[in-house]
Amino acid sequence: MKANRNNLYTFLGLGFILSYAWIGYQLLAVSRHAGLVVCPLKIVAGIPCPSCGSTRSLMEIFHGDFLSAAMINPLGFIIFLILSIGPIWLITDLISGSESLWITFNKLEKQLKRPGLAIPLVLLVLMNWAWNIIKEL
Amino acid sequence: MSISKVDLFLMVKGKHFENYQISNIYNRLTGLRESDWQAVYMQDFHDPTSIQVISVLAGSLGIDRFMLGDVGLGVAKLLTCGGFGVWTIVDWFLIQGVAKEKNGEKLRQTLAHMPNESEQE
Repeated sequence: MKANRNNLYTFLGLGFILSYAWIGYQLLAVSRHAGLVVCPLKIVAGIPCPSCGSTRSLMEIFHGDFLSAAMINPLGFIIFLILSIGPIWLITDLISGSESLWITFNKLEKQLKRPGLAIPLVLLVLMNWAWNIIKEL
Repeated sequence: MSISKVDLFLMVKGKHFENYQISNIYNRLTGLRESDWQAVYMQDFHDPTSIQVISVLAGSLGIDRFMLGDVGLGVAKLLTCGGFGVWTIVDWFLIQGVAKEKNGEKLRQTLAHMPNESEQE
Protein backbone atom coordinates (compact mmCIF):
# COMPACT_ATOMS: atom_id res chain seq x y z
CA MET A 1 0.00 0.00 0.00
CA LYS A 2 2.78 2.39 1.00
CA ALA A 3 4.80 1.40 -2.07
CA ASN A 4 1.79 2.02 -4.33
CA ARG A 5 1.32 5.46 -2.82
CA ASN A 6 4.95 6.36 -3.32
CA ASN A 7 4.81 5.07 -6.91
CA LEU A 8 1.81 7.26 -7.63
CA TYR A 9 3.42 10.33 -6.07
CA THR A 10 6.66 9.82 -8.02
CA PHE A 11 4.68 9.28 -11.20
CA LEU A 12 2.52 12.36 -10.64
CA GLY A 13 5.55 14.46 -9.71
CA LEU A 14 7.37 13.47 -12.89
CA GLY A 15 4.21 14.04 -14.92
CA PHE A 16 3.73 17.54 -13.51
CA ILE A 17 7.38 18.46 -14.11
CA LEU A 18 7.22 17.20 -17.70
CA SER A 19 3.91 18.97 -18.31
CA TYR A 20 5.22 22.28 -17.00
CA ALA A 21 8.43 21.86 -19.00
CA TRP A 22 6.33 21.25 -22.11
CA ILE A 23 4.12 24.30 -21.39
CA GLY A 24 7.17 26.44 -20.67
CA TYR A 25 8.74 25.32 -23.93
CA GLN A 26 5.53 26.16 -25.78
CA LEU A 27 5.25 29.58 -24.11
CA LEU A 28 8.86 30.60 -24.55
CA ALA A 29 10.28 28.96 -27.63
CA VAL A 30 7.52 28.26 -30.09
CA SER A 31 5.10 30.48 -31.90
CA ARG A 32 1.62 29.47 -30.89
CA HIS A 33 0.50 27.59 -33.98
CA ALA A 34 3.66 25.91 -35.22
CA GLY A 35 4.39 23.57 -32.34
CA LEU A 36 6.06 20.19 -32.41
CA VAL A 37 3.63 17.34 -33.06
CA VAL A 38 4.11 14.64 -30.41
CA CYS A 39 0.85 12.73 -30.77
CA PRO A 40 1.64 9.24 -32.13
CA LEU A 41 -1.84 8.79 -33.59
CA LYS A 42 -1.59 12.02 -35.54
CA ILE A 43 1.89 11.21 -36.83
CA VAL A 44 0.98 7.65 -37.86
CA ALA A 45 -2.64 7.86 -38.93
CA GLY A 46 -2.97 11.55 -39.65
CA ILE A 47 -6.12 11.96 -37.59
CA PRO A 48 -6.11 13.88 -34.30
CA CYS A 49 -6.57 11.99 -31.01
CA PRO A 50 -9.22 12.98 -28.42
CA SER A 51 -6.80 15.25 -26.58
CA CYS A 52 -5.06 16.79 -29.58
CA GLY A 53 -5.13 20.56 -29.32
CA SER A 54 -5.09 20.62 -25.54
CA THR A 55 -1.72 22.41 -25.58
CA ARG A 56 -3.19 25.10 -27.84
CA SER A 57 -6.26 25.18 -25.60
CA LEU A 58 -4.03 25.66 -22.53
CA MET A 59 -2.17 28.49 -24.27
CA GLU A 60 -5.49 30.22 -24.94
CA ILE A 61 -6.45 29.81 -21.27
CA PHE A 62 -3.12 31.36 -20.23
CA HIS A 63 -3.82 34.27 -22.55
CA GLY A 64 -7.27 34.67 -20.99
CA ASP A 65 -9.23 33.70 -24.08
CA PHE A 66 -11.56 31.07 -22.61
CA LEU A 67 -13.97 30.93 -25.55
CA SER A 68 -11.37 30.01 -28.13
CA ALA A 69 -9.85 27.58 -25.61
CA ALA A 70 -13.21 25.78 -25.47
CA MET A 71 -13.48 25.89 -29.24
CA ILE A 72 -10.06 24.27 -29.70
CA ASN A 73 -10.47 21.51 -27.11
CA PRO A 74 -12.61 21.64 -23.93
CA LEU A 75 -10.29 19.04 -22.34
CA GLY A 76 -7.84 21.91 -21.89
CA PHE A 77 -9.89 23.11 -18.93
CA ILE A 78 -9.65 19.72 -17.21
CA ILE A 79 -5.89 19.64 -17.78
CA PHE A 80 -5.64 23.23 -16.51
CA LEU A 81 -7.54 22.23 -13.36
CA ILE A 82 -5.35 19.16 -12.75
CA LEU A 83 -2.14 21.07 -13.43
CA SER A 84 -3.05 23.98 -11.17
CA ILE A 85 -4.35 21.98 -8.19
CA GLY A 86 -2.27 18.79 -8.49
CA PRO A 87 1.26 20.03 -7.76
CA ILE A 88 0.13 22.12 -4.76
CA TRP A 89 -1.75 19.15 -3.34
CA LEU A 90 1.21 16.85 -3.97
CA ILE A 91 3.69 19.18 -2.26
CA THR A 92 1.38 19.79 0.72
CA ASP A 93 0.99 16.03 1.12
CA LEU A 94 4.73 15.45 0.93
CA ILE A 95 5.47 18.17 3.50
CA SER A 96 2.74 17.24 5.98
CA GLY A 97 3.18 13.50 5.42
CA SER A 98 -0.56 13.03 4.90
CA GLU A 99 -2.12 10.74 2.31
CA SER A 100 -5.10 12.86 1.23
CA LEU A 101 -4.15 12.88 -2.47
CA TRP A 102 -3.69 9.08 -2.53
CA ILE A 103 -7.04 8.57 -0.78
CA THR A 104 -8.84 10.98 -3.11
CA PHE A 105 -7.20 9.35 -6.15
CA ASN A 106 -8.47 5.93 -5.07
CA LYS A 107 -11.97 7.24 -4.38
CA LEU A 108 -12.06 8.97 -7.76
CA GLU A 109 -10.85 5.80 -9.50
CA LYS A 110 -13.61 3.81 -7.81
CA GLN A 111 -16.22 6.36 -8.86
CA LEU A 112 -14.99 6.40 -12.45
CA LYS A 113 -15.37 2.61 -12.67
CA ARG A 114 -19.13 2.90 -12.07
CA PRO A 115 -20.91 2.30 -15.40
CA GLY A 116 -23.36 5.11 -14.68
CA LEU A 117 -20.53 7.60 -14.73
CA ALA A 118 -18.10 5.84 -17.06
CA ILE A 119 -20.44 5.43 -20.04
CA PRO A 120 -21.49 9.12 -20.29
CA LEU A 121 -17.85 10.19 -19.90
CA VAL A 122 -16.70 7.80 -22.63
CA LEU A 123 -19.47 9.12 -24.89
CA LEU A 124 -18.39 12.71 -24.17
CA VAL A 125 -14.77 11.87 -25.02
CA LEU A 126 -15.88 10.14 -28.24
CA MET A 127 -18.01 13.15 -29.21
CA ASN A 128 -15.09 15.44 -28.50
CA TRP A 129 -12.90 13.17 -30.61
CA ALA A 130 -15.38 13.32 -33.50
CA TRP A 131 -15.41 17.10 -33.17
CA ASN A 132 -11.60 17.14 -33.20
CA ILE A 133 -11.56 15.14 -36.43
CA ILE A 134 -14.13 17.43 -38.04
CA LYS A 135 -12.15 20.50 -36.93
CA GLU A 136 -8.96 18.89 -38.30
CA LEU A 137 -6.88 19.98 -35.32
CA MET B 1 -6.45 -30.45 -4.48
CA SER B 2 -5.36 -33.26 -6.75
CA ILE B 3 -2.21 -32.78 -8.83
CA SER B 4 -4.04 -33.31 -12.12
CA LYS B 5 -6.40 -30.41 -11.38
CA VAL B 6 -3.51 -28.14 -10.44
CA ASP B 7 -1.73 -29.17 -13.64
CA LEU B 8 -4.86 -28.43 -15.66
CA PHE B 9 -5.12 -24.99 -14.06
CA LEU B 10 -1.48 -24.19 -14.79
CA MET B 11 -1.72 -25.50 -18.34
CA VAL B 12 -4.77 -23.44 -19.18
CA LYS B 13 -3.97 -20.31 -17.14
CA GLY B 14 -0.20 -20.51 -16.77
CA LYS B 15 0.51 -17.86 -19.39
CA HIS B 16 -1.59 -15.38 -17.40
CA PHE B 17 1.04 -15.25 -14.66
CA GLU B 18 4.69 -14.28 -14.27
CA ASN B 19 7.13 -17.20 -14.30
CA TYR B 20 8.33 -16.53 -10.78
CA GLN B 21 4.75 -16.77 -9.46
CA ILE B 22 4.14 -20.25 -10.90
CA SER B 23 5.88 -22.29 -8.20
CA ASN B 24 4.08 -20.35 -5.46
CA ILE B 25 0.74 -20.86 -7.18
CA TYR B 26 1.49 -24.58 -7.56
CA ASN B 27 2.33 -24.98 -3.90
CA ARG B 28 -0.70 -23.01 -2.77
CA LEU B 29 -3.13 -24.82 -5.08
CA THR B 30 -1.99 -28.32 -4.11
CA GLY B 31 -2.85 -27.44 -0.50
CA LEU B 32 -6.41 -26.35 -1.32
CA ARG B 33 -9.58 -28.33 -0.60
CA GLU B 34 -11.25 -30.08 -3.56
CA SER B 35 -14.42 -28.02 -3.03
CA ASP B 36 -12.59 -24.76 -3.76
CA TRP B 37 -11.49 -25.94 -7.21
CA GLN B 38 -14.55 -24.55 -8.98
CA ALA B 39 -14.14 -21.07 -7.50
CA VAL B 40 -10.47 -20.94 -8.45
CA TYR B 41 -10.97 -22.29 -11.95
CA MET B 42 -13.89 -19.99 -12.76
CA GLN B 43 -11.83 -16.84 -12.05
CA ASP B 44 -11.48 -14.45 -14.97
CA PHE B 45 -7.99 -13.17 -15.64
CA HIS B 46 -6.68 -10.49 -17.99
CA ASP B 47 -5.25 -12.11 -21.10
CA PRO B 48 -1.77 -10.60 -21.55
CA THR B 49 -1.80 -11.28 -25.30
CA SER B 50 -5.03 -9.42 -25.99
CA ILE B 51 -3.94 -6.58 -23.70
CA GLN B 52 -0.75 -6.40 -25.78
CA VAL B 53 -2.77 -6.10 -29.00
CA ILE B 54 -4.97 -3.40 -27.43
CA SER B 55 -1.85 -1.58 -26.25
CA VAL B 56 -0.34 -1.52 -29.73
CA LEU B 57 -3.58 -0.47 -31.42
CA ALA B 58 -5.16 1.89 -28.89
CA GLY B 59 -2.40 2.51 -26.37
CA SER B 60 -2.23 6.22 -27.09
CA LEU B 61 -5.83 6.54 -25.91
CA GLY B 62 -5.02 4.71 -22.67
CA ILE B 63 -7.49 1.88 -23.41
CA ASP B 64 -4.96 -0.75 -22.24
CA ARG B 65 -4.72 0.92 -18.83
CA PHE B 66 -8.50 1.27 -18.56
CA MET B 67 -8.91 -2.45 -19.27
CA LEU B 68 -6.48 -3.36 -16.50
CA GLY B 69 -8.49 -1.27 -14.04
CA ASP B 70 -5.94 1.55 -13.76
CA VAL B 71 -8.56 4.18 -14.51
CA GLY B 72 -6.51 7.06 -13.12
CA LEU B 73 -3.50 6.19 -15.23
CA GLY B 74 -5.79 5.62 -18.22
CA VAL B 75 -7.19 9.14 -17.91
CA ALA B 76 -3.66 10.52 -17.58
CA LYS B 77 -2.61 8.62 -20.72
CA LEU B 78 -5.67 9.79 -22.63
CA LEU B 79 -5.24 13.44 -21.67
CA THR B 80 -1.58 13.55 -22.71
CA CYS B 81 -1.93 11.87 -26.13
CA GLY B 82 -0.42 8.71 -24.66
CA GLY B 83 2.15 10.49 -22.52
CA PHE B 84 3.46 12.49 -25.51
CA GLY B 85 3.87 9.21 -27.37
CA VAL B 86 6.67 8.05 -25.09
CA TRP B 87 4.51 6.33 -22.49
CA THR B 88 2.62 4.53 -25.28
CA ILE B 89 5.84 2.96 -26.55
CA VAL B 90 7.08 2.14 -23.04
CA ASP B 91 3.76 0.42 -22.32
CA TRP B 92 4.05 -1.77 -25.42
CA PHE B 93 6.87 -3.51 -23.56
CA LEU B 94 5.58 -3.25 -19.99
CA ILE B 95 1.87 -3.91 -20.29
CA GLN B 96 2.10 -7.73 -20.37
CA GLY B 97 4.06 -7.68 -17.13
CA VAL B 98 1.51 -5.32 -15.56
CA ALA B 99 -1.35 -7.61 -16.62
CA LYS B 100 0.41 -10.67 -15.20
CA GLU B 101 1.14 -8.88 -11.92
CA LYS B 102 -2.53 -7.89 -11.64
CA ASN B 103 -3.59 -11.49 -12.29
CA GLY B 104 -1.20 -12.75 -9.62
CA GLU B 105 -2.57 -10.21 -7.16
CA LYS B 106 -6.16 -11.21 -7.98
CA LEU B 107 -5.44 -14.92 -7.51
CA ARG B 108 -3.61 -14.18 -4.27
CA GLN B 109 -6.64 -12.29 -2.96
CA THR B 110 -9.01 -15.11 -3.95
CA LEU B 111 -6.82 -17.74 -2.32
CA ALA B 112 -6.47 -15.69 0.86
CA HIS B 113 -10.04 -16.59 1.85
CA MET B 114 -9.61 -20.30 1.21
CA PRO B 115 -8.31 -22.55 3.98
CA ASN B 116 -5.28 -24.72 3.40
CA GLU B 117 -6.14 -28.41 3.68
CA SER B 118 -2.81 -29.42 5.17
CA GLU B 119 -3.08 -26.73 7.86
CA GLN B 120 -6.50 -27.91 8.97
CA GLU B 121 -5.42 -31.47 9.65
